[in-house]
Amino acid sequence: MVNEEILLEVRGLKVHFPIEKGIITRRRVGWVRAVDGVDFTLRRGESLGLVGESGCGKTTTAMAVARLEALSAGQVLFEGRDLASMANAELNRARKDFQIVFQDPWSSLDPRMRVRDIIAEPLRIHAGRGHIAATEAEIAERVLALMERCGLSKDFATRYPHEFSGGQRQRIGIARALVLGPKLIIADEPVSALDVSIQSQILNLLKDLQKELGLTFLFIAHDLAVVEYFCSRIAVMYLGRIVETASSYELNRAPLHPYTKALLSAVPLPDPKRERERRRIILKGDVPSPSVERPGCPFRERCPEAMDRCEREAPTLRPVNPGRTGHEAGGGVGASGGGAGVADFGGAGGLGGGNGVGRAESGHLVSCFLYAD
Amino acid sequence: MTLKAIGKNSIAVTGIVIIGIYLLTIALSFFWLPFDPVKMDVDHLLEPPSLATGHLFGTDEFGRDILSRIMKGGFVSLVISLSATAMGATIGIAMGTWAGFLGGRWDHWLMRLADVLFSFPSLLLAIFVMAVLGEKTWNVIIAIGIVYIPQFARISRGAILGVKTNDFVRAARSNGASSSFILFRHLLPNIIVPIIVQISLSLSVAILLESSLSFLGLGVQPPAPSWGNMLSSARKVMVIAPWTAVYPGLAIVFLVLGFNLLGDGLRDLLDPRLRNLR
Repeated sequence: MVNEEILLEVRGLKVHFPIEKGIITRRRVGWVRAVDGVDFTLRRGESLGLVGESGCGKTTTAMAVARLEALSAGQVLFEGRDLASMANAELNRARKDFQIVFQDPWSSLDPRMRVRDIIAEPLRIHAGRGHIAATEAEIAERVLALMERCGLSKDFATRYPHEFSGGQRQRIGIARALVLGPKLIIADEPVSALDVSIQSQILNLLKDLQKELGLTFLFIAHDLAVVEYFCSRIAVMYLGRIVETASSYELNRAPLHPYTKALLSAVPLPDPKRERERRRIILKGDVPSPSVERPGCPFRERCPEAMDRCEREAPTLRPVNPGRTGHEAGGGVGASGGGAGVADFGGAGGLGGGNGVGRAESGHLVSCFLYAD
Repeated sequence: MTLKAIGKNSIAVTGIVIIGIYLLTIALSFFWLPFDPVKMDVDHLLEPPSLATGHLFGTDEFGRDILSRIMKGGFVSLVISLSATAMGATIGIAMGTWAGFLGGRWDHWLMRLADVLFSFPSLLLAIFVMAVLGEKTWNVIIAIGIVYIPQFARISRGAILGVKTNDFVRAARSNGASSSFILFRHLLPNIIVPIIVQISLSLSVAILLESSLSFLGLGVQPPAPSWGNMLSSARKVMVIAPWTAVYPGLAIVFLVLGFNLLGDGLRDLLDPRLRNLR
């Protein structure tokens, strides 16, 4: 059964990298669990932001979705078909429907190719494999049209990447990602390497393109302001797992997971009055090593609200039941943090109300025993 | 890269002109030489350069005309230098690119092999190969070529490792580009600069290595002339007859200069970032 509305569904995604030692013969001495069981769904036309601190596995997740990293386990269902188990020929054909915008515009463009050839490359690769039919004249026309759409002058077509600034280079990268008319864009921190003033230009360009072309975005970022602006839904990652998913509005208004709360409390507020009241939650300790397998919740050592149960079992990502949440959070949690969360939550309650199913579909999911049944 | 672009690059043009003069002179040597390069002349031993005798560069300790020997030996030296570099570069680049691109076990063992070759001083390695293969001109090429293999392998592997992590490689992969596409379209063009520098260096070092081998009696066998064995035989009379060493030496110097200038020019021409600087 394929749900037409869902473009991408990721189930139980794991990417483990082997740690090898030895000079003559290499033996495996362990695994880095970069991504350790990630689930999410992306509806058509939506933009999901994956946020988290560096090293939490968000880029690896994106690369695994695009099958640029080998999956250790899990399914990546793109339009109902599992990319993870696809044979190469079929996968290569499917690749034209999802494209990547890379983080670093200095490394994502081949310095020895002209701009027009860089943008045309995806077309040429797929035309060469017979996935699409395109003559050189059509390719040239399409490239020029896209350059114009992405804010690049047609005169730039024969230039080399070193002649451009970071923002312009990122526009070239975006044009390349769009040239095949993809359904999904995987944007791996597309603005984090850019000046703040350029960031907004690029974000607006992406937003316009999304509206115009009906694109779906998997948007990786570590900047909460950027994802809040760009994404309709946000997934927060910690140590290779998603700990909370909610609509952008809801997550910012009423974060539930203690990690999300800490993360959001670090964002300065533009309103001076609210900024004065902002209380930063400072987490103790460092992110544990992803190469050590531990039972229990990955966040438990640093969690200000850890319980005994968190030591023994790992929580799973579950829909939040607003009624129960209020009680549990209010009861089991320190009064200030939990209480504020619940109050705000009530304000945003229009999304769910008493309707548990609607709530789950709007997708506020959290992986924490505070909100478990 | 067009002819016009090369014409604009004065460095490359100078290199081409120098190499062109050598090639013309060597071509000429097949049809005409001032004297017979291997005929001894006991009446004119160690004569200084002079117009009157016709020995423009003088004569050596056997009375043979040095200019004729340089012209004749140039062919041997140039063929050895070009072939040995071609052999070392082809095998070495293939090995290094393969190792760097595939990584893992291939990389591991190919580089250990290169380490073994590297652990011998290059001259010692060349002597060893010559001793095994025997003293023939062809074997000089093979010996120098083998010395070059690990050098080219290391350089191309290192360059590939640096380039292959770039996102433009990932971008090509994300569209299902084949490994050979990535190798020829993205990787090799981006490692051309260090390789060209290494080639121009190797062309010159080959001439010097050939001289060393000939000097030790393992290279081009007398009486056939090569620049290397001319230099080595000149050593004995260099103090009383400096021209016996100076002219073959100058022949080497200018050819090496020509190769290096051409290499520099090509490097600039092939790199879009440097193309418009001059």
